[in-house]
Amino acid sequence: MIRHHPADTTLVAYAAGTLAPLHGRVVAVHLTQCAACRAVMAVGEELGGAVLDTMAPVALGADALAHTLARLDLAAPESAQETTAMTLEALTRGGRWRRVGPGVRLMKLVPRDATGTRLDLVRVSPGTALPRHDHRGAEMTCLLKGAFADKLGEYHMGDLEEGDVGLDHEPRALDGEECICIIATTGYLRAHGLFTRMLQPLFGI
Amino acid sequence: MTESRDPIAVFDGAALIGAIAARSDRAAFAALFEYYAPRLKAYLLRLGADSAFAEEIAQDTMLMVWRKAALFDPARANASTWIFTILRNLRIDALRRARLAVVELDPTEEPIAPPGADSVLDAAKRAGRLRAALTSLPPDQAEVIRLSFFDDRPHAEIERALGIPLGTVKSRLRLAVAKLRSALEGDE
Repeated sequence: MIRHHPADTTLVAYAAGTLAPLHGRVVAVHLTQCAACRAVMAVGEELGGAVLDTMAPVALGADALAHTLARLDLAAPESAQETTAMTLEALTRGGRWRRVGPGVRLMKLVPRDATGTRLDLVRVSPGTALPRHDHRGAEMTCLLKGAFADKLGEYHMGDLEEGDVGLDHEPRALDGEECICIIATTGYLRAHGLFTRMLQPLFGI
Repeated sequence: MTESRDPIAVFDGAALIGAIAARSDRAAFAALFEYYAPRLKAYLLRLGADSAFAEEIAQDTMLMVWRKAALFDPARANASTWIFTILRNLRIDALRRARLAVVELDPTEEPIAPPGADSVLDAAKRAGRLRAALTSLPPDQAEVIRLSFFDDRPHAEIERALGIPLGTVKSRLRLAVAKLRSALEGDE
């Protein structure tokens, strides 16, 4: 039972293609598990169709149609359509866990891109808390395994937490099972207290 | 239930895409191109693309429509929705290449099937209703939707554009989506 969902704003931006792509990756993981959000996403895509219909046409170059017609018979390029990893197994394939502190390991998926966003898997031992930190940019987290809690609530498999700028929290893995999350982080985090140094690789500061 | 409940006529691209799929119909493609390519270009320009990029992606989208026509399922999606998702994915891919960032392509290869859309008539009816419902939204809600499609920035920045708190942006959009969904699911 999924309790925490992306905001409609996020789902519509994802459907529109205007959400930061790495945040989109996290939303996509949630969507594989959440029919309710897929329904909102479908409305978003239909809105895209409606937006297209209502655009005032802007003429293309005079030879645009002829140019495109001439390309119709060209062989389609070999489609390197790799399926995007959505499951824990697929996401961790070929990756390497790196210990970044007691009970905390990190696997880099995508390094910081031009929008200042990076994508990582974070793996936390049962009962372990991350040091309290706040956010200079948006953060999006989806649970792949286990559960964690912070002041916004308790998060289980498939739940998605959106941390907006200014979120100040201290997430703790619940007892019993290790917790693995996929996290897109924009901008830099700011850790409070003594653990700053320990989590340097995680925070990138 | 009457057809007059769907007052806004929608260009019927589905039949043209069907003709491309069935018999590689170049005249159908030209008709589709004439309607969609200038709208695709306009949309890309509105998103801040330069003219050359807009023109290139608009043409690439139409080429992809030709290649993927057999995959189009008119019961799943209205033609404009389907073409929009192709445009969206090509644009994301092109931007990624331009940035040289190693971001993977948006995973949604096909539009997500709306729940309950199980016939071509349903899909067409949904399209008409959605457009009618859109025109009756309060301006503040319509504006938040517009910004979701026209502003290529993290959603949190919409608040800066409108000068209203993020909570208000979210609640307006939630209201708008709820209205659109109830319009879509009306008189089942």
